[in-house]
Amino acid sequence: MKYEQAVIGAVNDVFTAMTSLEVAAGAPVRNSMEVMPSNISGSIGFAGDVSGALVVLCPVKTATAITADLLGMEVEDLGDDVRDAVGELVNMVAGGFKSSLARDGILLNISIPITVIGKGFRVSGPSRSQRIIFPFACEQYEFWIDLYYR
Amino acid sequence: MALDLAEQIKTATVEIFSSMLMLEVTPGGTISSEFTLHSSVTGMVGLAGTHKGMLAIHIPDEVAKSVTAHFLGIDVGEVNDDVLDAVGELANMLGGNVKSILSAKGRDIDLSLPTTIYGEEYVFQCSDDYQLIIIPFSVNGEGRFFVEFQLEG
Repeated sequence: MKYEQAVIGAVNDVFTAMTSLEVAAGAPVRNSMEVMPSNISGSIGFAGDVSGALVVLCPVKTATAITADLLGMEVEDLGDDVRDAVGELVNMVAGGFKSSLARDGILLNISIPITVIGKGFRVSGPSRSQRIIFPFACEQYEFWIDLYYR
Repeated sequence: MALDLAEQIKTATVEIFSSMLMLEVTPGGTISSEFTLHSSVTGMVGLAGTHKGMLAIHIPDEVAKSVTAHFLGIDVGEVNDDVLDAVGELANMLGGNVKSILSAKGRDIDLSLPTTIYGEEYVFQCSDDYQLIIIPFSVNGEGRFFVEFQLEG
């Protein structure tokens, strides 16, 4: 359960500290093959006692709503503002995830956040890795975090 | 340093394709801005430690299938999990090389697990905070692919 608690705790902390949005975590699902409908993803790799990757997947509306709240301005399109906001979001969540696991004696370092914007793309981890999908509701919008580790 | 790094990534890529896939690839001039990928597979791996960065390889579907066929010695009809894993593994091997270029024997840098992106149309973004190197390669009569490296600082 420590990975589940680390991810959900980090998301709650980041949203509380950085946004005025309510975020609610759904039940995490282990090792599903499900493909999430996203137009924007922010991913960051980690390595150390455990290695893997943490990926935030958002539909356009979720990404623009979160960016608008972070910046305090209206955001219509998936431009540089959204790119930077989603990148920063995954970076902060990964930082919280790292700190949380460090308290359990699991040490890791994180890489840099990479944002991908597009139509009809999917993100996958290696076949031989553990996967946990975390669904979140942010006000009326949804997003997912995909955690891959080995 | 960036130019030298680009040259070393070119050399590492040519060597990996030659030794692992028996494919001859030729590097082109370095590109320094992001671009739209169409019907492609991207494999990427994070670098964490004394240097933070990300190494990616972007391969159009047709080239990815052919590269996977060379890699695994099997026929590949469509982009499936074998193709995604093969492209992820290529990113992993390239990342391992870059790690050794940046840190003596690669001791102070660890690689994350590789992830893959597969889609019809997507743009791999680069924040203004990072150095960006993109190198196109041509594969012996079978098209092109790109190796991208982003480095913090």
